[in-house]
Amino acid sequence: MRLTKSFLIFLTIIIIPNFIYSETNSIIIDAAKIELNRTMEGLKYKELPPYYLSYYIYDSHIFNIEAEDGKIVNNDDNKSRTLDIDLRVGSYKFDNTHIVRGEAFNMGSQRNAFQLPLDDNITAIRNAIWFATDQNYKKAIESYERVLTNTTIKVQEEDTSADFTKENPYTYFENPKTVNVDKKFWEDRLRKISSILSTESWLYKNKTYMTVGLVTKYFVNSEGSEITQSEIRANVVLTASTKADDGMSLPLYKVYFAFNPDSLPDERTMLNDARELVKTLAQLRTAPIMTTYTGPAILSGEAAGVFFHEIFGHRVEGHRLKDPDNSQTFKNFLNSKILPEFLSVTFDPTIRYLNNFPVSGYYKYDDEGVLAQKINCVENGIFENFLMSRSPVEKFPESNGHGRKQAGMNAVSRQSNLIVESNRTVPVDSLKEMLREECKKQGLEYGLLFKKVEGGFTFTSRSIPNSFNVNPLIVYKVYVDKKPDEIVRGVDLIGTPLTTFSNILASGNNLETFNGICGAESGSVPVSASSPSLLVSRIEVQKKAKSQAKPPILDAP
Amino acid sequence: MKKIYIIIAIFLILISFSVKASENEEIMKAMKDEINRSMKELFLESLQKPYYIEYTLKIYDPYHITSTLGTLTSSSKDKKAELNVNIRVGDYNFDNSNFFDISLGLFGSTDEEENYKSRTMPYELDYKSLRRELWLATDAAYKQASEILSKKLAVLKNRTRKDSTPDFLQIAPEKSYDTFPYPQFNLNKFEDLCRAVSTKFDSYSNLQISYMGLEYIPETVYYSNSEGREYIKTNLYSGIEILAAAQAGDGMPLYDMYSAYSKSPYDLPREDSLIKAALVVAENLTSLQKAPLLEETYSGPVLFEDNASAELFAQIFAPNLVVQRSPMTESGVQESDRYMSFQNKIGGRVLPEFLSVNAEPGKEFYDKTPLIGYFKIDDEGVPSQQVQLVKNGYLKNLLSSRVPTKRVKNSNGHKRGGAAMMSIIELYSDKNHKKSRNELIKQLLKLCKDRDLPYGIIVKRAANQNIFYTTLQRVAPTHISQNYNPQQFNLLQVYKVYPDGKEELIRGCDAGGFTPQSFKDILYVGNKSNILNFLAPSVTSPYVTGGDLYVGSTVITPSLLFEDGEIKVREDDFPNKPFLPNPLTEVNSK
Repeated sequence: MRLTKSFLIFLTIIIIPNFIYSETNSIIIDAAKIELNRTMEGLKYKELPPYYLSYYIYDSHIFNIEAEDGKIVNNDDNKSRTLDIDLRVGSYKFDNTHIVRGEAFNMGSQRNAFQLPLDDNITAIRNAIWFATDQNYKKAIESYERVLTNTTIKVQEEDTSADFTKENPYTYFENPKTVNVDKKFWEDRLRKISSILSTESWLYKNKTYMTVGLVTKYFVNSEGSEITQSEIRANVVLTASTKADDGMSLPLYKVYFAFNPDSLPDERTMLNDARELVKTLAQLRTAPIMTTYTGPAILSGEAAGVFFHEIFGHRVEGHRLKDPDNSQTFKNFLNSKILPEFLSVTFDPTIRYLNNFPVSGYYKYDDEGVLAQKINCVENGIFENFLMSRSPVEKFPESNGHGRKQAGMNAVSRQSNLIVESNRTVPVDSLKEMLREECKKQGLEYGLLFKKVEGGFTFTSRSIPNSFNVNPLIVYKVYVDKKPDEIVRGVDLIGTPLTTFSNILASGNNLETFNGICGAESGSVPVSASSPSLLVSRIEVQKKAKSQAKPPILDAP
Repeated sequence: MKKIYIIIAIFLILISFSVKASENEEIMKAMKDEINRSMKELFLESLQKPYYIEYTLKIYDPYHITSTLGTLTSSSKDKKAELNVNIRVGDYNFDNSNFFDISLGLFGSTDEEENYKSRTMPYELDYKSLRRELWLATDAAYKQASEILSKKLAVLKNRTRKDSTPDFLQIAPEKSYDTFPYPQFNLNKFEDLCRAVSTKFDSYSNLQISYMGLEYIPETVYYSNSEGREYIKTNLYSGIEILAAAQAGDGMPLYDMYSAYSKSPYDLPREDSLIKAALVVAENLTSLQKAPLLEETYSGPVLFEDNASAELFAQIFAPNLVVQRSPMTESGVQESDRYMSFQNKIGGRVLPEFLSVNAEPGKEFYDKTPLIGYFKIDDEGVPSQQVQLVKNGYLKNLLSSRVPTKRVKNSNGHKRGGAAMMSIIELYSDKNHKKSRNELIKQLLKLCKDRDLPYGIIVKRAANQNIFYTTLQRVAPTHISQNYNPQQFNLLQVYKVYPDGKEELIRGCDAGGFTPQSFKDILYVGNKSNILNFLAPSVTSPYVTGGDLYVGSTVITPSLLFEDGEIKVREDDFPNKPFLPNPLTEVNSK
């Protein structure tokens, strides 16, 4: 199951002026290089020597402020330095990471992150790297024995490609960034926002938080790569929820993302958005419940972005083609039509802004030290490419810079900045009229407009139906007879990918972006999804899971 | 000029006190007002009103620092506020408590709004925002209490209740205040202390892992209940843990640890003492690496001295001195066997007749050593009481809260961290059985001779349960045996003592088979007291109470000579040693 829900678990990082950048950088890189060379050299004559070793060090400073009811709940900042090790024995063709087939609890992707000293003491850092590497080497030897046996006793694999790609070494250095976060300024602002989100007695929950973080990532490997990247990410998230009389919880949120806290929207914008959010919640709590429906719908650009992330993005993550339990939806569609010819889909981690809007799936080098690349997955409706990490698959022997992970996990191919583009657009305002026409054709009284979504999830395993589920927050009924649009609640958008794709009729001339955190087997990574609004001839909605708790018995004090 | 400064200073102090006082009043007023409103108005049709409501609000401001080899590995502070609401529906004789519902008790409600246990709250509080939080949490607590009461009643429809002990003890209202300003934590100073102590391991390249952790958790607790009982109290807790791990030549994982706890961080041992302690840990491990193994399981007299006697008493005997009420469940009363040895033993003999045990929660110091088990008011606002637990070998009482049991009907002010719990427990002897170290060893060797044993065993240091489960498992999981059995008492420093008095350090053994009943076999005790401040694992599982995992406690014991004990050889396989030498070897050789 993949989940893009995580607006509520944004990565946070902070920033403290660091006046000894180059020295710090050299101490971390030096410690890592000394231990890397010592390990490769020292274990060279063992029965199973490592053929590849990389150290990935995340040096992060995270700053987090949280408010509820106009009051501060949390204000902390934390520094950490963690080490990830990728140590492989065997060969590029067959190594200890080879997939083990037929095990019920094969949680192969989990790996420990090791804590490194925060002070720049090369001996202490080397000591921690040494001990962690030894543990990793011992595990690698154990795993290698397991995968050898597993391969012997199981049938020939469908995909016989190698376990690891050969890549060129990369050298890249950027100075660690700095940022100043004015804690008092942000405390004041969050207090004001969360006050608005608790003004009404029926607003039972609210939380407003900001996170700013600086992560400097140091990467060295035995192939000669040496990369230092530094990034700042800032988020402000407003959440509030109420309950309908039938117990249904109704949450809403607003997210702001920027590559620097100074670039976040101003206070006035945030306060206005908070008021707007309360107004929408007021409408939602008395809105009628939507019943099961199948028929035409408009997905706003944001909703369409999440929709593509779930139904398409997770199915073009290349490593899944190796998993014998995966449905591998698009494996046989290479160079075939999967979307209307007016649509193209790209993943571009190299851009920081799209139409002047920051996109959070940006990076220069991926988490396996490979240069990020823009990938055209669908060109004019024709499927052309998968997103690749350093785990090659048949016909795709190289990484295209999409190996990503959270600290402490194993990298797999993951999405970056997903962009749906259309070469045949209609003015976005005319989509409603087209929706009404489509409803008339199908003999329906109304169609649906999905304006805002919370996230979604999808299943790609063969053992369960390959459906997706997108969780809408704001949905309108658009009536054929031009009655005013009516807000409704209580449904999820569901379906299966190939059928839903074939139902896309038209796209608007707008582009909206959803910045979020995507969770999958390699952990949580920041992604974005941008799309024009889409008109779909047939979607299906099902009833949302609902809380059974009554609203509070007594009125607010 | 000086005078003016003093006047200004006094004025500022007065302002800060009056601000604090008005803040306290606002918090207490919000609690009382919401209790009053809920007692009058909170009920659902066909369900009973609450007969008792209790709020506990904690605001804490903790600091944590960890370090290794002279550098920090983490340093954080994390101010938080947490609310617990306890609602009782029914009456004092029969209510929704003392019933464990697996679904609601363990997993909570599936409806996310129903959050009233350890509910995170803003730490900036005023009357209005606190009332709002109390209102929502009370609503959730009432709904769940009513549901649990109905489940409990349903279970009894098909059973005959044998135990008619009331569910809750009614007591008169009382107001208690035990507050004082927190000592401010000098973060830089303590970070430097961690660096200075942990750097002492730099010259020990034979050690694979070394660690020092320091924490300080000051908290203010606000409490109010519908009976009119209320308190405000300040709690302080400070702790230092030092730990190192290595492997012997044959691969056997070895570790050693040191800990010190106090209320104020400024009462913790000073830098020079901590450096000494770190060096002792390093030297002990270095000696252990070369020490011979115990050849075969030993059965015979054993002398536990120093820290080992206190750990043995704290882990095996003392937890049984706490009252536990077995909760009713859907399948009847759920008896646990964890620390239940003395629940029905009042009046019976549990120790030799020369030994007695007291609980002394009001004792702040013992020979100038601060005791972390000290407190004035328990978590239910009941003043802590001195309790004679064992007198001349016979069990007299158990440590209790307001939850009565068949044998213990009253509270003696020992509700701590969720249920009744230890405080400061002192084991003491009559004059005739107190012996000097030499005399104890002489007795030990005499017993060995009588049993034809070539040597006796002295245990000087034993593992601390809390550090074992939290710190060691986190910092050095590689050094914990895969076959570790928590029932076995993990030993750190064990000596063979030969008839000529020679003591020889050995490794690879644990104490086996020690039970509370084994303490009846104590023959003599030492003439000095060992004080052990430690974080005791909660006797009643925090998964049942929703309370704390560990509670600061103290035991005070002399050395203990057991007539018979078993010291077992560790029999699990050892992991290989690291393939490459520690980088410290290279650095130290330069």
